[in-house]
Amino acid sequence: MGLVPIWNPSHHPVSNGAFSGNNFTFTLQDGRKQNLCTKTFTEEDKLLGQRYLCGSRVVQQQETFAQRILASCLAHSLLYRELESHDWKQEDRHTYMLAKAGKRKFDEHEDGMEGKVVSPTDGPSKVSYTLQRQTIFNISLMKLYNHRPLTEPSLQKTVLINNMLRRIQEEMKQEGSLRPVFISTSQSSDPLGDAYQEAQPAFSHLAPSPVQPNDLLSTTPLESCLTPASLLEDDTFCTSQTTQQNGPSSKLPPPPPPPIQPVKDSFSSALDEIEELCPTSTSTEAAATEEATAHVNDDTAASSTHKPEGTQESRTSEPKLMDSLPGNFELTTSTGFLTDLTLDDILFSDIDTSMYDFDPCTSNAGTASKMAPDELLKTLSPYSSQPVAPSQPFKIDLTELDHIMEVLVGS
Amino acid sequence: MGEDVDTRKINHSFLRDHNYVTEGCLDIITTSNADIISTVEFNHTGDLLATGDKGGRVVIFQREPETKNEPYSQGEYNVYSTFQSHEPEFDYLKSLEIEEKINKIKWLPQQNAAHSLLSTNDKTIKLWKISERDKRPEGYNLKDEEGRLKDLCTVTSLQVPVLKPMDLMVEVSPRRIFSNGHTYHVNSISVNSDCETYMSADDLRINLWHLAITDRSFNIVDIKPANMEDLTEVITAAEFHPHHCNLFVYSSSKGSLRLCDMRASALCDKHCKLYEEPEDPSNRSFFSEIISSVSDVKFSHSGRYMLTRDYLTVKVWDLNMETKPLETYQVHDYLRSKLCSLYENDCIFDKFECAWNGSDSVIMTGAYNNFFRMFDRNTKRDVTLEASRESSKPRAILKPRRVCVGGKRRKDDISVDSLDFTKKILHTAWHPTENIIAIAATNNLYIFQDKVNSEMQ
Repeated sequence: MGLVPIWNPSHHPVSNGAFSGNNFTFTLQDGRKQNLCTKTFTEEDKLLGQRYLCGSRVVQQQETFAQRILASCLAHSLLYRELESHDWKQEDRHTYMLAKAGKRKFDEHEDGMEGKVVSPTDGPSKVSYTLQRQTIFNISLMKLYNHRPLTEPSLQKTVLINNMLRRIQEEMKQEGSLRPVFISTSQSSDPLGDAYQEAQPAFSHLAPSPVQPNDLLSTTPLESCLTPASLLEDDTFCTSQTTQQNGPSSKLPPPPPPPIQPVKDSFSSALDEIEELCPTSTSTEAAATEEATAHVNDDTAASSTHKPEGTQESRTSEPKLMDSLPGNFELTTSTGFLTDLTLDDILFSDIDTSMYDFDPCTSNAGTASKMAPDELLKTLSPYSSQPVAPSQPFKIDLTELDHIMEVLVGS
Repeated sequence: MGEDVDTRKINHSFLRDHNYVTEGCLDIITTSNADIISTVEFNHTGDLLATGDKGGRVVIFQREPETKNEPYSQGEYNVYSTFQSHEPEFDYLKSLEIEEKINKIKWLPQQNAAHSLLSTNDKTIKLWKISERDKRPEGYNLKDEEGRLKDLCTVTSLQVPVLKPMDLMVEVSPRRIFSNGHTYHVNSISVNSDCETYMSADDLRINLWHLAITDRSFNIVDIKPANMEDLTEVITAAEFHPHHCNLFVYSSSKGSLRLCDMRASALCDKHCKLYEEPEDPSNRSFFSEIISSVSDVKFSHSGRYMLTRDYLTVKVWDLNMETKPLETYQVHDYLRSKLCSLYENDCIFDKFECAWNGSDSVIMTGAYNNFFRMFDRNTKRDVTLEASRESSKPRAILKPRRVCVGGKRRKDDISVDSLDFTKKILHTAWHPTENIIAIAATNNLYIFQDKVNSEMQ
């Protein structure tokens, strides 16, 4: 089953997971035991959970057996909850079959364990299109974040994933706000500061406008701002934003001036000169841009370790800036996931940005590797529309986990 | 390298009129990643077969000549030469590793006693010469047996050096290194029918090279947008027409094929024909674009047709019909309901290759679970076969396999859920004239041969 763990298990390391009866018991990192009622899980889920590990799915190395089972189960649990609460108004979406539903239909004719499963659906027709879309969206984002360190990711793959994200983004934009149930239900546990709570009404005012899809999407550039690739990119990015912003953002502190701008110019022009001297025109041209395409998110995510101390202030202000900018929606969506790329392409086509590459394996980037999935987690979490409070960045309380569990298990 | 050439004979039947025998199974015992075969290619006569692997090695197999005792027996393929073609490199400017993995091998038409082939990794193409030596000169006047200069005082008489026979030695030497031509990853190389030029395609550009000139190439296709943000399509494969040296085709990640004529202009950004099939609305899904991405394109030997492979199908296109393919064959349609999982585990991005038989009547392509598929274009019959050591016994017939997609499961059927997606046959090759096929299954190479063919001869 192709559902991604909505809740990223690698951030809540789990050990000693085991099924017993209707329970899945596991130990959290801090030693607390957790019990997840799997009443809603079918035998097939468990099988799928097992298969999840046994080869048909490429998984993170850090994940343990139990974590992956859990992730799988959580994902399935989400699916079922969504199925149950679905209002079935989108009958015209049937062409978008969810893989599992299709398979179940077949399996009913078969012997074996899977055939006995009483699935909550009668067939492909009742599967939530929205949830599937959200899932694919999440998987796609995860794919953009995760790639083998030190190797160039396949451009073809990156382009296809980007196209997928763009398509879903476009669709969400047209449909307006269509947020999956599980996201809105956990809205209550919003741990964010008052400032962000205040911002909330502003969003709901934007009547038919696709604010929430935008939120999901804008998290990517948003995260970029949280952990900018470099002062340069960051500043230029933010200034380009500020030039177009109005309203709510104006009360926020202005982004710091781009102090290294001249340096960059001379550098890039010098590189241009070098390039002109180079006889093989095809070889050097846009060497960095390819990389930029693929690393857009990773670059920025990992680079915080390189960031000078003095920029702390700007970092905290940027998420606010971005987030409280419903007005810049068009800007954000038009540039989509390649916002950084644009800049890279224009300004840094000849500059090596690879030192900012996201590399989960090297030790000095350890913080970065934790960060990226966490950011992703946020995009998947109910707080995706909000930036995380800067004082406790990238940390989600265990009570939230409990809450998520509650929502998932629905007991 | 720990190779073990398995010379067991294995039969298996393909349809009624094709019965293939395993010629050999090269089994590389070690299971390190470096041994995974990444490309397979017969030469123009079919007597040599080259494989490249992830470790940058090229292994060449030669078909043993027919013996006098068994004049009609087909020669087996045995290892002829092994050499390291590419080494891992590091791009210090971009701080990225350049893998040594051999992406493609192409043989050059043989022009003298030596054989030549091109091999490429992500960035660098190399021309190798493979030659034999079975004689060595002896009796030099100024050099001793080991090649050292003699002390001139000891030279008292002159002699004529003679050639003495020696054990056959296969020498492989790098002749040309075509570097710095590609910013992106090279996915295809193709030798032109003029035998003087070849092209190399990466994700966004196609370059034309002369085989003798390494420091210059001509860019013939460039689809890189001015702003990389606008990039939505990449080049996935490219090939020259087998007879017309001015024509070539390249495929894209959006499922289209573009035929270009180099006579039209130096830069062939403007195709002369665009082959594209409109999307079937009943099969539309999130993954429509990804599964329509063409992973391989091959001209038929006649030059009339093109064969393309996308994720779920193989298609035969007539060069004269742009609107839709002539024939479409489902390779593993049962995966259509599993695309989400396959997307999640990245299998959906697997690049399966496809191959024509010598007479362009049968096509072959790989699938998962070490299965490969053959489609007879005339009878419209198809078969699924498995390349595996376990199911292969000497001279036994390989049973056609069947994947169960619902309804009653027959004995020996395999259910879709038990398919092993880590065992995939991406690379296949067909002998240019005979019914001999080479199948790369991760780190094993299987060579099958038509049994009827061999017995009738």
